[in-house]
Amino acid sequence: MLNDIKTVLLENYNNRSRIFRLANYELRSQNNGTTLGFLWNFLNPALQIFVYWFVFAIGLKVASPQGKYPYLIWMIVGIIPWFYISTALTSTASSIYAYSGVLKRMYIPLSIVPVKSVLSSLIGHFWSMLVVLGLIYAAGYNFSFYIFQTLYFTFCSVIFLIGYALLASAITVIFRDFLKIMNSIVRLLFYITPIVWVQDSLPAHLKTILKLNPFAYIIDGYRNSILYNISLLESWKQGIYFWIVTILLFVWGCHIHMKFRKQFIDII
Amino acid sequence: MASETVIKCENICKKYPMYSSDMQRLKGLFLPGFHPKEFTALKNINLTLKQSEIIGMIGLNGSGKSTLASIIAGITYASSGNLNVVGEVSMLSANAGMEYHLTGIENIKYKGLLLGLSQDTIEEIMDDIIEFADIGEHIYQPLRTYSSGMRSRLGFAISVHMDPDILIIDEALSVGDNSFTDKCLNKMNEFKEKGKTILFVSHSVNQMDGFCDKVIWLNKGQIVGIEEPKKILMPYCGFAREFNAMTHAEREQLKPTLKEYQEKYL
Repeated sequence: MLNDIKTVLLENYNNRSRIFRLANYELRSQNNGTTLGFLWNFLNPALQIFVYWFVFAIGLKVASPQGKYPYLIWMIVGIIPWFYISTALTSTASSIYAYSGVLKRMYIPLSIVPVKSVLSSLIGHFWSMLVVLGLIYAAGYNFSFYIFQTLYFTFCSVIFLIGYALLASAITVIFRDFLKIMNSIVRLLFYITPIVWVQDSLPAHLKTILKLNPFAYIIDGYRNSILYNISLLESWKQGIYFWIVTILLFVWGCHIHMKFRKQFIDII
Repeated sequence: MASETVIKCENICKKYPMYSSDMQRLKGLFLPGFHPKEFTALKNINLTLKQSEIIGMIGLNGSGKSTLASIIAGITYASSGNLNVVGEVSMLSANAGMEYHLTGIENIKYKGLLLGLSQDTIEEIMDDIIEFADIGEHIYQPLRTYSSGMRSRLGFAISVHMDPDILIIDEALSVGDNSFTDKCLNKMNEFKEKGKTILFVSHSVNQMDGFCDKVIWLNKGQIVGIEEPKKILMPYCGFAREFNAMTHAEREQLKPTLKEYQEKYL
């Protein structure tokens, strides 16, 4: 078990610059061949945000969040990390499988493939965050020192997603239906995570259950850091729970990845 | 230095499970008692390559050449047996790792990256690769506009600018027209002069004759013989001709030995 983790960590550490450059290529090739290219990374989310805003704020008239912010800003700060997490949840699952053409003909340390996939989503997220922070500032709101907590919450999501990616990419190679299952789960997660509707008015026990969702910790964290100036120490219980889940997932992911890696090439 | 062993295969076997459905594949992985039908691709391969040796590998389709080449390259793993490789191995492939959306130049960077080259090295060899590929203005166009020949030329030009200790060529030399093939063979000879170890898989008996020190003949996953080219290529060609004329049942029975075919065809 410890050896599995060591191998995965070492492989990734030794190839760190390669992973980063590969992730950049992956991001770039997604939009290649389109005239607007890189702009699509912003146009697509913008359109989705508009639709959700229209449906939830105008159509359904959902309860307004607490504090000085309008629904739209509250929602954007939650949905931007969600865009990146949800993309990563599906794209990393197929990462090894989708790379079969390359992996069958070239030697590439296998554990860097899922990690590269996480990183490529993260790079896109980084740019979106810059744009969003710029927009909020332009709308006349200021940020406090707590904004730097965002880096911590991004770090949380990266480690969680890497553990998940190692596990999910291995499962997908063996059991391709997993991709379909994940697509449905992501859609479900969208509604049980506090992204588009305000959960403040829910009964207490239901709120507690919804807090068991590790993504709720991250999304709430983003909002607390950027909008509400709340220290991450205030949700320390949720934090400890999150890290226990994340570390277990990471260990399990490394183990399954190493257990099946010798068979990957023969199966894909 | 010159006689140092760089590749040593001991009793290498490779078996592929043959699942008849996805459900079986799941069972095979999770139920310990479930054993699917197996296909033996390689059986007890013993092989030693010394530094600077050029070894050819011939055999009919499905004889296990590519499987053995990928095991040595570290791409796939043997089911049993020991493999010891000293030095950096690279498998030369024309078409792997090319992105259709990227331009020729971007593909050079991308494939170089997949092959593990640093950014500086890629910049350094960029001009050489462009010159070697020799596809003119197309190098600035996306790969999807290329003809298949141009694509292979570019892919090959990239892989050929690697600098590994051990080079594996798996039927990659037949990608271009004659003039390009000559160019590739010259490049191979350059590698040979530099003292690289080369494992050369091909169906082209002519290319092997002048180039290799020794040739391995594989049949149904087993080594029929390892000899210098003169003593093995003709018998193999004779065998291949006979094989063509045989019925299915005769082919199943066939267990060629090198001696028998050497007597017939030398």
